[in-house]
Amino acid sequence: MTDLLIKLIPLFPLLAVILNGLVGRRYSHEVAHRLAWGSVGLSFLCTISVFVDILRTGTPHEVIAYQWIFGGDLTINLAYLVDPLTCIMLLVVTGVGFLIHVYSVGYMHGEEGFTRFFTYMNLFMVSMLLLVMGNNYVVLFIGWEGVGLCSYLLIGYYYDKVSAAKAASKAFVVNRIGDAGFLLAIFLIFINFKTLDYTKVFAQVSELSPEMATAIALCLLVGAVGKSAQLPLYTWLPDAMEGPTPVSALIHAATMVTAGVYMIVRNHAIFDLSTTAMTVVGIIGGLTALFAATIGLVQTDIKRVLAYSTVSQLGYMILGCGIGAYTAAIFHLMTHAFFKALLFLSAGSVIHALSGEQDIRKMGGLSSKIPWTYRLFLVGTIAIAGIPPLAGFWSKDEILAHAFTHDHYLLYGMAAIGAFLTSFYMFRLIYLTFYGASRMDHHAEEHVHESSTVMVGPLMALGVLSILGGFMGFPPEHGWIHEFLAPVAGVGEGHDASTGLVLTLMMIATGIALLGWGLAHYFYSVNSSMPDRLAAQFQAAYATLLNKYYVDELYDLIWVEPLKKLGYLLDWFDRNVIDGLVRAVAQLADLAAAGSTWLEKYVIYSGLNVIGYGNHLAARQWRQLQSGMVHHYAAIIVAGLFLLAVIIQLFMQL
Amino acid sequence: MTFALTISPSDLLLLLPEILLTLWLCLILIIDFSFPRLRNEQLAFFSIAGLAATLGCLAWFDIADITGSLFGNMFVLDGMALFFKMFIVGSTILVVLSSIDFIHRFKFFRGEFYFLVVMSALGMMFMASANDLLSVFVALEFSTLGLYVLVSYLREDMASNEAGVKFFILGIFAAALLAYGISLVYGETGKLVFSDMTSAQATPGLAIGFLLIFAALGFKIGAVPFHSWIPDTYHGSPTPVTAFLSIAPKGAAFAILLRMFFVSLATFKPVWILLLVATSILSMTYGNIVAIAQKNMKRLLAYSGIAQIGNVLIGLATGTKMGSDAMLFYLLTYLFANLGAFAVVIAVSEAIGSDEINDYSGLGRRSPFLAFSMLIFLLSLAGVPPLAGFIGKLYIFVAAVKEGLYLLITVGLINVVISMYYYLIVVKKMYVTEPHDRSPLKVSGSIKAVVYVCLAGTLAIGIYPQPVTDWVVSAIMMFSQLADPTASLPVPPAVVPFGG
Repeated sequence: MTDLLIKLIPLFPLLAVILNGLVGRRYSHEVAHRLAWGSVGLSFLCTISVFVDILRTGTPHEVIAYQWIFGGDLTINLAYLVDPLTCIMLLVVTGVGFLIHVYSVGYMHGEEGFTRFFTYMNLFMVSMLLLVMGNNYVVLFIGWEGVGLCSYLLIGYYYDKVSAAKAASKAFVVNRIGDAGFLLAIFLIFINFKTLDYTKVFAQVSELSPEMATAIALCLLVGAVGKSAQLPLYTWLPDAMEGPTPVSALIHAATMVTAGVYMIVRNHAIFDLSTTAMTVVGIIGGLTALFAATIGLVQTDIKRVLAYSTVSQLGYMILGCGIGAYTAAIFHLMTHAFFKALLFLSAGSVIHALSGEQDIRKMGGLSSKIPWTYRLFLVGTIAIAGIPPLAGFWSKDEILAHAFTHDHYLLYGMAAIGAFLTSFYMFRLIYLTFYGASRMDHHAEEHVHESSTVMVGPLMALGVLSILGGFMGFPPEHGWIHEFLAPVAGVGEGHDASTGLVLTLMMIATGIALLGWGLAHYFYSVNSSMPDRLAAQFQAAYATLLNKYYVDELYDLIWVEPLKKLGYLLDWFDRNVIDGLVRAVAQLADLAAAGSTWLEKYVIYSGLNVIGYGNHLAARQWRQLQSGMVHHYAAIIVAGLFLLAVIIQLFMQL
Repeated sequence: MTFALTISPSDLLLLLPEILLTLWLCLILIIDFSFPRLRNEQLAFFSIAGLAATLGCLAWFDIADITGSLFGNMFVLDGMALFFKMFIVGSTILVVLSSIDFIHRFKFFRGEFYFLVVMSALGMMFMASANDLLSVFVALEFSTLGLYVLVSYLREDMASNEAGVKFFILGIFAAALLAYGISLVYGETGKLVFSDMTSAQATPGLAIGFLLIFAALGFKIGAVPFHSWIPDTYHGSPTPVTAFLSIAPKGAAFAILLRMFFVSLATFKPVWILLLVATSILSMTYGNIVAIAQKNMKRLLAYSGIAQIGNVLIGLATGTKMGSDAMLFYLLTYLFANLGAFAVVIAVSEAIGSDEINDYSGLGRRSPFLAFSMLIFLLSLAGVPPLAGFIGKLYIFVAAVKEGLYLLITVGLINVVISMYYYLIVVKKMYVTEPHDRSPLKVSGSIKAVVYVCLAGTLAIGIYPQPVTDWVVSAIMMFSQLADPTASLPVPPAVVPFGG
């Protein structure tokens, strides 16, 4: 029964993709969106039932949907592995995915290409489900590429907008760099283990040499860095905000970008073998968490602030992986999915209310006009800032505490500063958007309205999850989620920190978050001229942050432009040298083909004529008679027979 | 040699599909001359009903696992025979369905067309069960007799008549080779039934005898150097007959080849591997290279068919269970892609009256359905994932890798690339070149049905091959002793020079 349900989970959205994609134009938008969210809802129900089963029995399920290719050493199955880790991912993907699909019905209402949007969204769900459910690296990779493709399609959803089209190709290209690393890792794994199934790989992982483990782990990390937008490949994610807001919430906050984290946790057995790789993972995570948070301080686009905060929070998860706090990383992944989806969708609701305005400098004083959106945005902000007892606090604090108790003081420092900055820029967003005097356009101000129930409903559900979600990990290190994930994520080393230390760390974390809130309150509510003065005083620093450390420009300078030039060069080379060669080869092939036909026509036949009938003239006459060639055909058969007989005679002494 | 002909009801059961089809054949003939006003479609659908009933009966045999042998082992009904019979009957149904539009071109004897097609199919069914040299000869001639007439069915058309005469003369020549080969083999061994010959000593006379039989069967499947009849005959025949020729008799001939090589020629394995490697390389290379120069779609498919048969022969050359599994699988993928391509050719020739590749220009605009289907079929023939042809090629090559036939694989892979070239030329014509005439093409329902079935087969086998692999693997369980060839066969000192 459970096996069947597992097979059904990705099938429902796939069915919706096929229906909406092929015949979606024939029926109304109503039918299309019902199919879309209905299918995801059914997947969610199946997931719950599978989850309950695993909760009760505790045994993972491995289901082969079907065998695709077999032969030699290589067997590729479309097979699923549902263990506690996959369960959590499935719940997040289908649950949050379902809410976002429902929300999209309201948000995308009246947009051109409504059905196309839902087709892509469902296709994304299928790929994401394959990604988290696969029992081998090939299925993981298929899902990995699939979500990348859907991300590309959805970022470029408004394809007539130049910036959207550019952002889409940027996301695709940058992700390809990561994919290359990932693919390399898969090849290395196959070479070393002669299989690509997780269970078989992890069963013999201890035979791996440390060097090879480091190589594989680093290649995997490159993949994760690309997909999870870590330094130095994070630049695509902020630009990806060109897509519709539900896309940002689903793909670029809650699910796809966390695939890298999932992949590292899934492969933690390989990472555990290499201290070097673990250190690199931790440092990349810590740096990203801090780096992205600083950029977030000064951004003025509501979605870009959230995008940098996503990069920063993903940094926390990767950091968690780097210090071996896998459960904490997955826990943070889950709570982050709740509150970040909530924040994005609320931001979408704000943008919707303001008829498309995204610049926070043109907002202000919205708290009374869109009260529900405001309240829910506040819940999300408190959750991400890490103020207890909301979800973000428990998961983030656990990563911080783990770093401290396992002597990663540098990483702890980075993460703590990052947490302070997070709290600051998030409350800055609250103050600029919802408080103070209105700075809106008159035109926009007249139309401000609270969003429809279909949009606020999912927000409320996410709000509840953002408030209560953290208690799955309570008490820290011994919560329900830790027990549930223990079989897959491994149990941390035994030395438990004393309760006193844990409480102190919690208090520090809370203090940091409150400090950030306080500073934001002071800057943007009490003394609102302060930020401008500071910006004027530290102009260079401000400009650097505003321009995102000029990383995009730097990449343009050192990669994109030279590559473009190289491209032009190669294009020239291609057109003048390679094409010339290809043409020559093609002509040769043509020549060979013409030659064999010619050979057949004139040499063989005429040769046979000469042998058989003495002159060539006869052949022409017979050809006119249309039946003369039969003799030649028969002669060819006889000649062939002799040839084969000679071959046999030569090689076999009969 | 005496035969005790006692036939019990249970024996008759084994012959049920053949008996059913024979009765139906008589009915077709009677109905045709009793009701001269009967429209062609009605007779066609009547024939299809009989073929479908036969197919159902075969499927029932397969599921219920009804097997056995008759007439002192001359006629066997096993998993492989059932596979090939279903293969033959299935392709005959598709051919009859796609001929409905074409039939109006025949001036006379339209009803007999179906009679002859079904009669040939019946002969091929006997070929699939033939288990001794005499029944091979009789069944082969029985099935070919109808084909001679079918090829020259366009009586007003010189090309068709020419094709018929050529096919007839060369067919008789091949039959003579077969008879000569049979007499040599019988003279050397004193045996006719394949399974009795397993212990035959390898003598030169026997080798030549088998070579002659192989030449006759190679003629049927169109392997180089016995291919010479194929281009002209394919070109001149009515297109549905070409489609029929390109698949059904080849399937039947492969059934005989499998029985002959895998059952009775064990002692000759090094010889026939050599033989098959040579013919396979010749077929692939010759077929693909000459295909490039073709300007006519039917000729292109004829040469591409020669090359495809070269691929199937790789499977035979491995001499293992896995190779034969891969062969059966490959033939099935070839059935769908090839018949589908021919169905498109029929539809296009009905609409524009031409088979020239140049006239396929802009087909993508004139009939997106036909062009897309053709694209899928050609890509499947070329072996592009995730289509059926890809999986088929993959299995064949993997089977060859296991046997270390690296020369064959190298040549095969080079040929895959060459074949891409001419398949894509057609694709380019369909999608890139501007059409001379932009009017949309009309496609009839029966052709559409054939194209849909072939599309479904090509896509389904490519995406979900497992049921088909399970089927072919179980169909030839009798070769499972060949899984490890060194275990069951004595390895002679002379090593195959092509082996790795």
